[in-house]
Amino acid sequence: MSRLIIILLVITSSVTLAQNPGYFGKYNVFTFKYLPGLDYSTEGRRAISVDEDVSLSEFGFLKDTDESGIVTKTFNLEHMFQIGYARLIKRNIAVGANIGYTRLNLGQPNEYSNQNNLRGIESLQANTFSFEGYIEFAPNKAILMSSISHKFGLRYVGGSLRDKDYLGRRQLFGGTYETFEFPLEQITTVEDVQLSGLQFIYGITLHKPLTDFMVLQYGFNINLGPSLISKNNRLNDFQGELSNDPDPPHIIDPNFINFMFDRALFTNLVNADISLIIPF
Amino acid sequence: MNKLFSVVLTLVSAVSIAQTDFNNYQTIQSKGELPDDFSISLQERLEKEMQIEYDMSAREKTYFVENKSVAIDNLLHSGLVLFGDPLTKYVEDVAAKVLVNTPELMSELTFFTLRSNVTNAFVTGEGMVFVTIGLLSQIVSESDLAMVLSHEIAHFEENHILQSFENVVTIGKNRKIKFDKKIEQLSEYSKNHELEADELGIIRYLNAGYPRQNVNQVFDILMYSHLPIDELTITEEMLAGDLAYIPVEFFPKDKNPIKVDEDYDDSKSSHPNIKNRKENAQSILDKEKSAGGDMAFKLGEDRFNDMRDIARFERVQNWLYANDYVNCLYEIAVLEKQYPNNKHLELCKAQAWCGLAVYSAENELDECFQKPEKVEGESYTIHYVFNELQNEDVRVLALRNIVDIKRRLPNNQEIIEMERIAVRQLLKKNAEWEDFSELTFEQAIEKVSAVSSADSSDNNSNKGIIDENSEEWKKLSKYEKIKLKEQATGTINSDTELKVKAEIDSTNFRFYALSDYVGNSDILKEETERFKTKEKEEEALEEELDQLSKREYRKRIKEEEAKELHLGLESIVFVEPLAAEYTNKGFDPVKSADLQLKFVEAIDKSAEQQGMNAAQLSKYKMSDLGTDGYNQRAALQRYINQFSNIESEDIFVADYEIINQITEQYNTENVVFSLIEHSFEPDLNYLTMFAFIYFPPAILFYIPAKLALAHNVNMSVLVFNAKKGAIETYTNYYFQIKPTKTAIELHMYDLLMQLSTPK
Repeated sequence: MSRLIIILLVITSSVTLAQNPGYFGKYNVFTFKYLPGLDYSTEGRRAISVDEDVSLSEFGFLKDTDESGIVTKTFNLEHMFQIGYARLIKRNIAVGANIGYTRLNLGQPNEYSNQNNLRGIESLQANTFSFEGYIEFAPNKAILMSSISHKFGLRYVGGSLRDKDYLGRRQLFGGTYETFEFPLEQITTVEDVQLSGLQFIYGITLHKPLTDFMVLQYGFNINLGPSLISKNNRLNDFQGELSNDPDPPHIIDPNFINFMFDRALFTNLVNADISLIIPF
Repeated sequence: MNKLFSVVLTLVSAVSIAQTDFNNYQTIQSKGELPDDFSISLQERLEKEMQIEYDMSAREKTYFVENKSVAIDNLLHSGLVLFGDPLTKYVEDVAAKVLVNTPELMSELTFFTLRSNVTNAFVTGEGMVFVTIGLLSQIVSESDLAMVLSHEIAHFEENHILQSFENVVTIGKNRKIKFDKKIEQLSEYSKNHELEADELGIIRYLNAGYPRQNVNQVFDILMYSHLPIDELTITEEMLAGDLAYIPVEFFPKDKNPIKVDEDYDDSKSSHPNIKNRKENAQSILDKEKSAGGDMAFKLGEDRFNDMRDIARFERVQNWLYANDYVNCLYEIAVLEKQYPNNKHLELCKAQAWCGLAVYSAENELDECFQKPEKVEGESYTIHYVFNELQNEDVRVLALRNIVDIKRRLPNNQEIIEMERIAVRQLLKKNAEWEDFSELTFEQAIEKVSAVSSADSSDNNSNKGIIDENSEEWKKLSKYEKIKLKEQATGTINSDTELKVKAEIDSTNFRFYALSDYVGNSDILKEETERFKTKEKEEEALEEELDQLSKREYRKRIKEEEAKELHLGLESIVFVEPLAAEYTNKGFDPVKSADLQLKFVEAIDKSAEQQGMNAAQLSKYKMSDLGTDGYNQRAALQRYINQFSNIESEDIFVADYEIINQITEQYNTENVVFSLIEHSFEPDLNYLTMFAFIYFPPAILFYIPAKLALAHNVNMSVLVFNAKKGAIETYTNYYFQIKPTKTAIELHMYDLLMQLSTPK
């Protein structure tokens, strides 16, 4: 990480600004982005039901029950905040770095230990922090801040599971269902969970100057995992195995959670990139 | 007493005005206060016009108002319109005579002269009357102008412009009629308007006291308006200069006769044919038997002649602006009969020859003359000759003539510059100076031995020969000369025919044209030296580049490109850009004007941010710039038009005096011309979109992406060194976002920053 920062600083300082108009003579920019994300995937990211009786939509997660005892569905949005700094080193090239926070939905393992007749469980969430460094460039003679640009970068994402009570559904004798809460410690061995990953980013964005001191940037990023430096196994290497222990210490194996994190990063392939840029 | 007073006043004004110094002639410029029409923007004009009530639908009104406002705006800012100059003042004074019985109309009308050699006059619905220099140079009396103005004023009074539009709308809407029939109907309406204007015009003309017998004279002027200002036989001496000789085989044996047909087919024409107009006029004259006066020159004949000569001198200038050098030379020759050894005409002649040299060096000589088969009358000869001459011949003749003019006007810096240009054209085309003889062609012939045939005096025994040097001939009008020549049976052959032995090929006559020049000229030596040095430098650079590796070469090119805008400028002059905004219906002039205005405002802001002096000679700044600024802007537009026709650095600018004035006033030699174009074209491939049936979410990306990239903005900027007559640098910006004010300002900021960066 520190190596990346050093490289960026060196690039920034070594290039002269003689032919660079910047943005009306300003060469530093501050970026701000907030993006809500809707977690959509066909499998793995939604609450999984073992029984068909517990109907959970692909978009829904166990959240709460109404008076009649029916599980209500709601959406768990992913929230991404990002702030950053970039330096316009040439008329068509900028280098920058962003730091961000994302509330990530990890989804579900393919299977989990069927403790206490568990039939469904809310998707696990992770609080992740990211740091990304990138270089962005526009076509040769274009001015970056009024042009389409290509961005290449690396993003390191790390975090931890969100410590909250997760809702579950279990079947009772007689065929009825009960909703209850699992504390995180009951779901997994938190100290064994290591959520970290590296993504390669490619983005295309369009810059629209709004005023002398504000630019709107919009486009999309393609985020390519899987994890390159994580100690976790790569996707498809780990299928997740149920513990054979009839009374396992946790519902979901921490290794599988690591795998779920990789999968979440991997399936978060494309995201919109809408930012406000403030040159100064 | 009043009559006596007005006669005295007329005489005084006639005497005091007709004092033009044609020897030191200066091209006329607009003078006095800038009329309001020139300082309001298109947007303001549209707003004003939309407040007028018209009896038509809202959509038709918008179309009508937009089109006419755009047309008027473009015309007023074309750089061709003159006001407050001697010609316009004359037109106004004649109009005052014409409107003697309805003086209140004068306040509704404004008069302008148009820098065009086309014989024409027209009026707008707003009462702007435009008379071309072409017309003013062709008329033979004040009464002709009075007749023309009466006609145009009748159009205005009867509101023919609006009626024409209404006819177009009505006929256009009728889907039952075929297109050809619609054209015929519109043509019929238009011709009726013309005949009505003729009728009302004649009545006004007669009531103003102008002579009845001059009414049809105007139609003769129209009929022969495609001809130059006079008929003059072109001789070899006029083109060859003092020591050169052009062999007789380059001259035509016969000329194309002047063909006029009064009764041509006018079924699809907007104007009736001359025969119909004359008959119509005669019927009015028959009705108005007692009307009319006997004064063809109410403002004085001297003043008229002075005005017409000014118009003719301006005509020569217009030919230079249009790079129409052969017509220019012809009409200079005509004027030199009346103004021999005229300094201004000599300068114009030098410019014309200089231009011919440049065009011949660029192999574009045929842009400077007409196809001879399309030329009638005496001017056929000169076009024929240039059609026969080779490019090399023209370059040599150009230098010959310029050198001769320099002898007559020594120490004239402009002529010296033109001489340099002419020499450079020969050097560019690898002229071998060793091939040029120290003998003239005649001396060379004498050496070889020649046989001379009958000289021109023998040919004069032919029947019907006309002596163009006689005083009687000079007094005749162009139209009388034409008619007399039609009756004549003989032609003058003023060349002495020389039969030469095979040792001298007359097609190599050019090698004998510079006998006194090659070997004696310092300028030739200097330019040759400079040319060789430049060639060596270019060769050295090419060699240096050849030594570089591909990577080094690319790096070098990139470095050069990055620095190409670095001129270290502190001051610059902008002319407002050409702007084109395209919608799905095509070019939108109103949106284009908005785009243009954004650009103008962006320049001001960016210049202020950069601390640069960026003067704008823009139509949006006319109220601040005044008449001087208007003239300067017009001169720049004419300059860039002249330059853009050939794109050679060696074009000698016709308005060099005003250009010098601009460079001194604004402390810069650099002028920026620019173009901005914008279109919104979402490139939605419907076939691709159909394929998204298999993956619908992709449409959420595809359509926004295509819409986001649908803007195409192209901004081209050319920095021109007005003093050198050369392009300093050129750049192009292309971006795919909407050209908002901020986006344009950002690019202007970049441009000015680059231009102010030292090399």
